Parts: sequence; structure tokens; C-alpha cells
Amino acid sequence: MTIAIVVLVACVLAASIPLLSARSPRARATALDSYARRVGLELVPEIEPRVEARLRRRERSVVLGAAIAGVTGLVIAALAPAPGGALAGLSYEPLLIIVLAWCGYVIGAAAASLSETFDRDQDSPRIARAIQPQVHHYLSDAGRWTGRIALALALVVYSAALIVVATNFGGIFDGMLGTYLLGPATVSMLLALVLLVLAEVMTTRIVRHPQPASTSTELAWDDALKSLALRDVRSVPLLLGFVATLLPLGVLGALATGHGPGSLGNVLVGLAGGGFIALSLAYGVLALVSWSGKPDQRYWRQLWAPRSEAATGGAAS
Amino acid sequence: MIVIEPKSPTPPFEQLRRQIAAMIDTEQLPPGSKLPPVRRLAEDLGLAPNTVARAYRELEQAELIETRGRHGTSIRSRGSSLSAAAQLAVQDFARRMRELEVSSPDAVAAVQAALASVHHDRAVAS
Repeated sequence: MTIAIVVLVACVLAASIPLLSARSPRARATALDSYARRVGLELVPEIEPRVEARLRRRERSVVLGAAIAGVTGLVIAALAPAPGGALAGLSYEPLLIIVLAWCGYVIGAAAASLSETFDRDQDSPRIARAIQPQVHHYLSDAGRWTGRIALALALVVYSAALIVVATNFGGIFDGMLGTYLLGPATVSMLLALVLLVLAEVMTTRIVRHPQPASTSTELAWDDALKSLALRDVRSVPLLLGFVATLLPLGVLGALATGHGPGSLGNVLVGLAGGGFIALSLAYGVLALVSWSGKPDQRYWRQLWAPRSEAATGGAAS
Repeated sequence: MIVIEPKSPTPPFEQLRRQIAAMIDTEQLPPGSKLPPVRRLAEDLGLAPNTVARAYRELEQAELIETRGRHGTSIRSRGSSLSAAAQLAVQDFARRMRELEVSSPDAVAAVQAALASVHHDRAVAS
């Protein structure tokens, strides 16, 4: 339990970094400036305090979400029966808390996005797009599909682990042990499926959330903040897909450990270990590819750049 | 981008209708482009849904857009050689004739006379 509390505190502290690291007005201005550069927008004086207020509310919301979900994870871990015998010391608590704290963080980010719009004076002009923005305007193909693919992969690995344990493949497993170890894998698989559906619903709601604006700058900033929330939401099925793939691999590895070289169990341990390394590498490559594609500025390339080009072309001709 | 000026003497539905028609005319909104749902556009522009619905309805009557149930509202492909602006002008004319209680044959005769007069003026000028 001590480790679980340490993990919870670490998660909440990690979620609080943006809030804590920019407490002075100067630090906040620097952080805001850095964010503006990342999304490729100018911080004009009329919009700066409002963007700052929205980002600050978002930061508070994600910390609150991570803390509530993390504590919930701690309570679940405390109520769950502890493994005994040969499995004493084997604990899923830290993993459970990390996953739930991340989900809470994302729910906080989505809630902030869904409850925020820029205020507008009654008499000021009102602008809007004549097209309905879609998810692909904010998220790349990788951003939209990787969570679903990760979950499909997790389902394949989980099904394989289930078949191996249920049939006692090769007669090398301890049946009781398999059933116990598969429990958390089953929970993570179900959780991943539920959260994928929730992420899809949240994605649609965020994209469709109204964008009242008086100027193009306000609308562009709203797009940038919307895009940030969407990327957070899409990270949930990705993380859960990773965990839900990892757990059955871990189960297979744990069940097959202790058999001699060249035995079926030994091969399975190798497969599980290799699978883990391949999966970690794949996620690392994916993170690099996503990062190099400047996902923060995708909304600009999709929604604003064609308009700017058309305006420039129109002016030139 | 659609801009609604609350202080303009032109009613909001008319501002909206004209701007969408102009975008269709200049192909900023090419055929097949989807317009935002009525409620979303109303919220974005701070208008009543009925105002946006009226603008959409008139654009639909001018055969510039079409609404297909759950597929939403999209820009129609050009079946007529008339531009969007010309179609709107015809629609405005028809509405005004009805307000003035001019019968259809009289309205058509008036248009033909006006067109003949314009053609005659052009021929003289050239």
C-alpha cells in the first residue's frame, strides 16, 4: 500500500507540473509564450488574458481529475483481495493507480474543454465557419487510429492468453495461478473497451462543441485548445491498449517461467519477452512519428492554411 | 468565414443567406461541402436556431443547398447555368412581386420588358 500511495502522489505531482512551475506572472507569461509558439499563434493583448485563464482552468481541472481518479484507484486496490502464497508480493496497485490517474487527467481536460468558450460582447461582430469542422481537421490519421489498433492488438493477445490458460496448453501451467493472473488482464481489457467507446463519444462532443468568437484570432485559439483536448482524449485508448496487451503477455511469461531450456514454457517466456520489447519499440516509434508531425499545429494546416493561401492568391490576382 | 454584424440594418438571416450564397458563387464552398447543423451555427453566431433555419430554407428554395436527413445540409451541384447570386436575385424579385400582389403573368411580362429595355440600352451604347 505504501508503494501505491507514493505512486499516487507522484501521479498528482506530475499532473501539477504546469500549474506549479508557472506560479509567478513572469513564469506564466513565459509558459504561455512557449505554448503560443508551439501552436503557431500570436498572443495579441486582447486575447492573452482569456487564453491564460482557459489554460489555467484546464490545468486545475486535470490535477483535480488525476487526484480523484488516483484516490479511487487506491480505494479499489485497498478493497481488492491481496494475493497469497506463491503470489504474495505480486501487486497491480501501482499500474491501476497510474492508469486511473491518467484517465482522470484526460477527463479533467475534456471537461474543461467542454465547459469553456470565449465570452463575446452583445454588440460585437460574430464569426463562424461555413463548414462543419471534423475530427480529421484536428487529429492526424495516426491520432485517430492508433488507439483503435492498439486495442485490436490487445484483444488478439488477450484471446491467445485466454485460450492458452483455458486449455492448459502443453500442460505446463498451474490452472489456479492462470485464473488468478488473468483477472487483471480481463479487467484491463474490459476497461480499455469501455474507455475506447467513451473516448469516441468525447471526441465527437468536443469537435461539435460551439465556438462563439468575434475575431479570427479567437476562433483560431479555440481551435488550438480544442485540438489539445482531443489529443489528450485519444491518448486514453492508446495507454489502455498498451496495458491490456502487456498484462496478458506478462501472464503468459509468468505462467511459463521455471521450465527448462528448450521446453515449451521456455519458448513462451521468450515470446512474451520479445512481444513486450516489440510493443515498447512500436510505441516509441509511434510517439516519435507523432511528435515529428507537429500535431499541435495540425488544426492550422487543415482549417486555416488553405484559407490564408486562398486569401493570398486572391490578393495577388 | 461568416460574419454577422448585430448593428447592421440588414436582418441576421439575410446577412447569413447572402454570405453563404456568395461563398457558393465564388466556390469557396464547392458542391458537396457540408454546412454546419442549424443548432451549431446558431450557437456559434449567437442567433436563434429559427434564424439560421430560415436562411437555410431560403437557400434551399433557391436550389443552392440541399438537406438530406441525417446526412445534414450540403452545397448542391450546379444544375442550372444561373449563378448563386442570380438565383438569389430572382428569388428576391419573386418575393417582392408577391408582397406587391402582382400576378405571375404580370411579373413575367415586367421582367421581359425590363430585360428588353436593358438589351436595347446596351445595343445603343455599343
